[in-house]
Amino acid sequence: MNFSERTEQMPQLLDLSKLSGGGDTRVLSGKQRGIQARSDFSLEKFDKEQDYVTVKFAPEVQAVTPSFVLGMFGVSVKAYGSVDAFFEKYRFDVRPNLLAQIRRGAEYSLLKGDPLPF
Amino acid sequence: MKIKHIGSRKRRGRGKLLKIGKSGARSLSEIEFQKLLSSVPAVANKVGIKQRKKVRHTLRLMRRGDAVAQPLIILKGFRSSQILDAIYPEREQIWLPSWQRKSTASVDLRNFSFLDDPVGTMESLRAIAECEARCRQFSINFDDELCRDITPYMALGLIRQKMLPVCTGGRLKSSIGRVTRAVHLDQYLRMRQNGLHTSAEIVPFPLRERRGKNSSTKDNSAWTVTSEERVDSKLVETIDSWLSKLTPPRGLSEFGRAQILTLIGEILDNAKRHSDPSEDGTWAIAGFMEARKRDDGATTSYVCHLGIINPGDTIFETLQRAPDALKTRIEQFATKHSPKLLLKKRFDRETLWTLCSLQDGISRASSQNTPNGFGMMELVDIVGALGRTSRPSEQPKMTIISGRACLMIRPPYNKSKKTQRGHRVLALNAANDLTYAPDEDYVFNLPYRFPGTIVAMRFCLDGDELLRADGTDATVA
Repeated sequence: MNFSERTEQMPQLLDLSKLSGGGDTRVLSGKQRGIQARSDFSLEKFDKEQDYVTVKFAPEVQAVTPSFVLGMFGVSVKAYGSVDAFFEKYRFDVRPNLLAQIRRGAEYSLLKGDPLPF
Repeated sequence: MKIKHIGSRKRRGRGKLLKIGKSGARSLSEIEFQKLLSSVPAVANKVGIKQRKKVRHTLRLMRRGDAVAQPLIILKGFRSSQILDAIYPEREQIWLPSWQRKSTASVDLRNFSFLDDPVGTMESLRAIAECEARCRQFSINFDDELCRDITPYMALGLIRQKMLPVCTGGRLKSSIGRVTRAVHLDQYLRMRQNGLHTSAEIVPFPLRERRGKNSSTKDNSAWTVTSEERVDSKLVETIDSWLSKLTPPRGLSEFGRAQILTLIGEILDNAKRHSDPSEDGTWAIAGFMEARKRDDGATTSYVCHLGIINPGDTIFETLQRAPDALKTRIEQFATKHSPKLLLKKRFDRETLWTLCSLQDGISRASSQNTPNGFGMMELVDIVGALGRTSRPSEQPKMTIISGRACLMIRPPYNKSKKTQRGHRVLALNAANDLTYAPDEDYVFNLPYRFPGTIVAMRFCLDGDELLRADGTDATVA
């Protein structure tokens, strides 16, 4: 997808501010919570639509654990087939530090199996 | 001598436990006192009847005000404890009713740290369990100069909740007392300390426990902030507020804060999800940071101690609920490295399964939709990153104890390696390769079993990557 195509799309907003309980937490953690958030925000619908999605977190959120990312976005990353394609669809409006954490969780989503040698 | 009336507690199907002193006996009304006398248990034999007479006589003396040196403890029936019974499996057979107890003892706790001496620390806990089972009274002496690990104190606190009240005091170094008081472990350990003040050089992260397992009511909603997230956020605020009081003021960088939040977030989530089949297990966490002068006398290191105890299933037990295909592969790994015939090794099958659980992608949860099992390596990597320092004595250390398995994660074996497929591996051997057996000095069995998992961590926050001068945002990874 090139830039001109991108600008023609209608961006959608996925505002995850509610997850931090009005400033009660600085971290979003836990795979189960991620899975629940995926369901509550109907991410399946976002996945199917053509438009890209801008994702926002509450400003007080300073960390998102890889487990949470796996739970919330893992299925989407797998559906898009690569981390770059996922970030093309979901554009995170967050600080670079947080973006690095989300990328790590997204990368784990594509790993298969385990490293056992036998 | 002041004797404290603790009162009586009824336990399901087990009669009652009573520790009563002078003031307690005198505060009862006549009817209550007669009821107490009639409730003194007796076994239907000569010894039992004689003991009953003796106890009733002592109670009357107490009420009259005649001298009685010690509080009177009456226990009817053996009281089971998950941790005591696991550390001392013979406890039920050896256990003596209080009136048959004659001996006294003391237990000296030295190098009481799972990070530095896990075998010795487990033996100390065993010695305490043995004394609890047979002594009329015993004391515990905390002889270490410094608290080097918070988890043994937490484990002892858990043990004391179910112990017969025969532990009557002991020595306590002020440096240890300050830490236990600061993190509120003194109440948990049932210690009474006089004249000790909390030190300004200790920043506590007081003991927090998740309510009992299977009691979640709201954690299944995405809109509700979980108790794990609240505890995690509080810890970062605690560290940051303390650093801001230093001269010159310091603070956690964005990177350092994110690392600590992720570390605790992952570990508490693992503890909750995997320690119980309902995925609603329990945990206790405590920690403290202490400013310590280095040997040069001029510089200070900020030493962080964190401990998480997760009573319930061990990692080995949890992995028995993994998909069959994965279990087969783990068993092949364990069989390959298990001791054969006459060859003796310090680790067994259970410990090798526990080592497997560290590796990326190994989890009891099914990975049909998305993969699982990245939390442990995340933990290892973050502790390594947090404690990055060139000083050998301040290298980060982590110990994982689960059942009888003990994994010591520290240099030279604290850096994960990525496989071609992208999984991180920590084999705890020189090649960092799972085709070779782990180093027995770092992976071994403990002499006794802990029913659950303990994670102990110690690292120093003095790297430029973690701390920034106040008002600036020096380093972001």
